[in-house]
Amino acid sequence: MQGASISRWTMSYFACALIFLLIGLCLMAAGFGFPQEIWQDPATLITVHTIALGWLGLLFCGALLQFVPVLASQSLRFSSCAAPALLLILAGLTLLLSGFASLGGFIDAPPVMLPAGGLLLCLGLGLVALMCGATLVPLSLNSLPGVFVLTGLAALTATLLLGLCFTLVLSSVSALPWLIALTAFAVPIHAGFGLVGWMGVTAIGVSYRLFSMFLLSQDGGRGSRLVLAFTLLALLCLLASLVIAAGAMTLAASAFAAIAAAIYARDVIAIARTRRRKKIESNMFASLVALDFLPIGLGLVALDALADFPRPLAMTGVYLLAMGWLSGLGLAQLYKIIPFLTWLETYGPAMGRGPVPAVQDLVREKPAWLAFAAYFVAVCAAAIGLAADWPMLFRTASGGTAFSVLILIIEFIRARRLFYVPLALKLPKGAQRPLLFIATARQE
Amino acid sequence: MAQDFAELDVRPLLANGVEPFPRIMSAVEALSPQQGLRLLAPFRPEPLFNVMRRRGFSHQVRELGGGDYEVCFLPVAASVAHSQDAESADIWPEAVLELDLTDLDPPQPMVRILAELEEMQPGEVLFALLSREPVFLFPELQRRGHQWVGNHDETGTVFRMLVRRGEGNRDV
Repeated sequence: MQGASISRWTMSYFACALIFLLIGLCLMAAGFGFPQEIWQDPATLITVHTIALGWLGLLFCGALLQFVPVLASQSLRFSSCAAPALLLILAGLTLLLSGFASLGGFIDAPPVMLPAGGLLLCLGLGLVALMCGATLVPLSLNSLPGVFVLTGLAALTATLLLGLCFTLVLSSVSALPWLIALTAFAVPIHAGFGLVGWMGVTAIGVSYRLFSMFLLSQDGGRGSRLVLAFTLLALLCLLASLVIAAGAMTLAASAFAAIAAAIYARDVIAIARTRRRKKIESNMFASLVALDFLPIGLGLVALDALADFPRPLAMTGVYLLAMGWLSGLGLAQLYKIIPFLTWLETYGPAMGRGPVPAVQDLVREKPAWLAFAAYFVAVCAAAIGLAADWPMLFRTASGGTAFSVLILIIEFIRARRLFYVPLALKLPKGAQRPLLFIATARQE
Repeated sequence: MAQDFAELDVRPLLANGVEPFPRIMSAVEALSPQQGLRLLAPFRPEPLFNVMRRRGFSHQVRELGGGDYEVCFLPVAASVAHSQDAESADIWPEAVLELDLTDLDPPQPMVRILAELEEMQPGEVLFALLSREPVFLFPELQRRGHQWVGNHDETGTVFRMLVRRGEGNRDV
């Protein structure tokens, strides 16, 4: 069918993602597994995957299930896979985290949970990739954001396959020499494919569309083709680094990624300058702040690669990319997307048949501004704590990020519950009260 | 908005026992880039659909009565997006309402169009200009039994659409 409908399970993906974010931030605040110099430390692996897969992974999947039909102006293909995919991802993640916990001796569980979890994650995320890919491929040539999303899905595949290889070695299921060698050197490549390749590229592609949409800008981003080209080069170098000259290839990948980021930054500034909507809403402001962490994070990772600094700059850079850029952008967009989808779901049937509230009636800007400000200040403080090796600052600041996320979650729940909507407009005839975790299906 | 069509009536040819396929193909060859072909035939020319699809044409079929069919072939590049049940908008009546909604922030155009449709009589048509393709409006129109066609203008910055009010009040 032409056009886009509400994705039924997106809200469930978002809810699970936010729960994982809170858990991850609480783990950081408790000093569990982070900051650690050693990536292979089981506690670090638990915290990192809670954030990377539990929060960011589910957030991106949920957002793609809703956004891909908007990009394609077509219903999502195989949309009945959305719920099974979520269950597979949740089961896979639980097994994976339990496997890490058993490696660290926190629980007593068979190590085979690791590859089993990895396999379920491959199946679940594979289903998401199938739904999005099958919808986008037929018209990808006409839609540049669509090509970005497809590129991201290819990077996701690489991330998953590498991760699956690691689980085989970590769980001692396989002792193949090449697998052990791969696990020894390819962890940063796995992280690069996941964080920058999948999520970063998707975020960039999608934000081209969303930013010009929210700012009513005529400038669609002139450099987007160049950004895509350099991103593809970066990913190819990253892929090549698996087989030849890992050091040089990783450096080349970083350089191409930096060029892509610079062109992207220039485009976003152009989009913001030529906007017709003069007043910038909190979600857009927070998004623009979040974007500032992209060059800072990439810069720190590059500095660490170029010279031997005594401070853990790469880790700080990765932290800023994950928590400042991607998480900040994600939270900011959720603050726009959740009220909009709730509004459409609730008032769609009543629209035109009587007065309905505006989308803005579902939210209050002030608590959101405060929460976003607190979040970004806390992220900066935590980064300083990491770089300067002050664990208490890092942990206290992580507590601050957890608290501000909690405030945002309360605001999201209030939007879903129509808490701020004036009583007279709350449920006009025909409107349907939204459920918290799932969108109500309507006949097509 | 109206699509330019060349017309070919193959009914007289068939009545005289002349194979119409070469004539149809030479008519297709003679089309200008944006032009469509309106074909009148005494049966539903099913095999032709695939041939034309391979040549880059979509089609819309209308039964004329007496076993005759009108088929409108549209070059895909020039074709417009439309609801599943929308037959050729060429035969829709003139729009009773023209709305320039390009200055409204989304999703206000959606609310406005749905509200205007409630006031209109079944079969009446409205024309609207929007700053974006209203992807969430399309399923809502379909659910309410309205038909629509629409596409971007030459500059790609304005989306224009025709919506024909449906018969009933579905999905109330």
